[in-house]
Amino acid sequence: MFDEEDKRKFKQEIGQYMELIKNICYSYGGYKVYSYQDLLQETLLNLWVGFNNGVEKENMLAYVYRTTINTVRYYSRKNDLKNSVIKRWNECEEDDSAVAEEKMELYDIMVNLSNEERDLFQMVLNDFTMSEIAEALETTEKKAMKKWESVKTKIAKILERR
Amino acid sequence: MQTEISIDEKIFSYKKIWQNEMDKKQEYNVDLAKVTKRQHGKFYYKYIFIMKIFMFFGSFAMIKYFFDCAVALYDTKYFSIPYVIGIIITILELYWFVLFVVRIYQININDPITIFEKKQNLILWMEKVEFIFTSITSLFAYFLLIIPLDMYYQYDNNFICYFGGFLAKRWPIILIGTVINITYYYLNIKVIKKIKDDISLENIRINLNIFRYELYTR
Repeated sequence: MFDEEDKRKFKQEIGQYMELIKNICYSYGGYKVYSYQDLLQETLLNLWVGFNNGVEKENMLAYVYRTTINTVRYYSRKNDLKNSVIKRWNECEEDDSAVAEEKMELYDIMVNLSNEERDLFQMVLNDFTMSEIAEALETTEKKAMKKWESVKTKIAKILERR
Repeated sequence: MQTEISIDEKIFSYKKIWQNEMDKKQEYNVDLAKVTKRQHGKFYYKYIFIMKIFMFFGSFAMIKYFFDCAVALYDTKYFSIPYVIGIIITILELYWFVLFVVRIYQININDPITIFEKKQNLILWMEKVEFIFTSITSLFAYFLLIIPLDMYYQYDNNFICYFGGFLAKRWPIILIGTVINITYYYLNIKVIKKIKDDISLENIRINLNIFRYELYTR
């Protein structure tokens, strides 16, 4: 059913972005093991289907990123992200360490950002360079930088409010 | 400027926290067979249950008829064959509905492997039988058998007289019942088709798993 060559290509091309895919799936469905596994399953299935249907593969990062985000948003339930954050929030409250306060700040930011802003923020947290972000969002580096600046301003406002 | 620097610093410290958080995902080991089967279980729950709800509303006319029959039997105290047939058919239909719901819930969602491998044929078989059964009961029995018999007994063989009165009195129920029934049958056919399509999708999933395992465990 599957060509060995296709499999090899898929593994090679998609395999290098597995960490990104897993992180996105985890950030949405991380509150429940089933949820995370299902999201990962559906994402890989969609990536495979698209991969075999001859999608534009020039910009692989953008393809992987877009497919993952779309799949995760489609399959995760409305409150999945919120539940993930709340679960971690509760863990923080139990924890007395100094990091706990910072963790809570981080989740507060996550909840208050819009979907697009949150995705950009998560990419920065995942150690993406600005050129990689621009590639994933299929935009220029300058525009990505501008977007990031506006997200930073919003983050500052959220932190001030706390 | 001061704020800018402090935000950059903050984001730097958030990065560390985020990476630690993300590392926790390693605890979630992926059991591929179970994930695949669970996804399939979700499919059955979602579509078949929607179908059952439609069926329930599709039986609206029958349930209404059941109460009509029961009340008429109680009030008039005379034995009427169409009323009895109406009651028996309605009970059978409701019994089938309950049986189906029970069967669906007997399948444990945490052990969904059984759904596809063991219960798949049963579900498809029940779906088909139910399709035929509801077709017979609501279309054939209700419109072709019960109404004429009802007319015969109630109006001393005067079919035309009763039919006019019946339409004038009951047309909204007939209309609603028919529309819901047709929608139900249409969706049912689509679902059976979707199940067939999904079986092929399932094959893709299983095939994909064989080599995807390496991706998961990277």
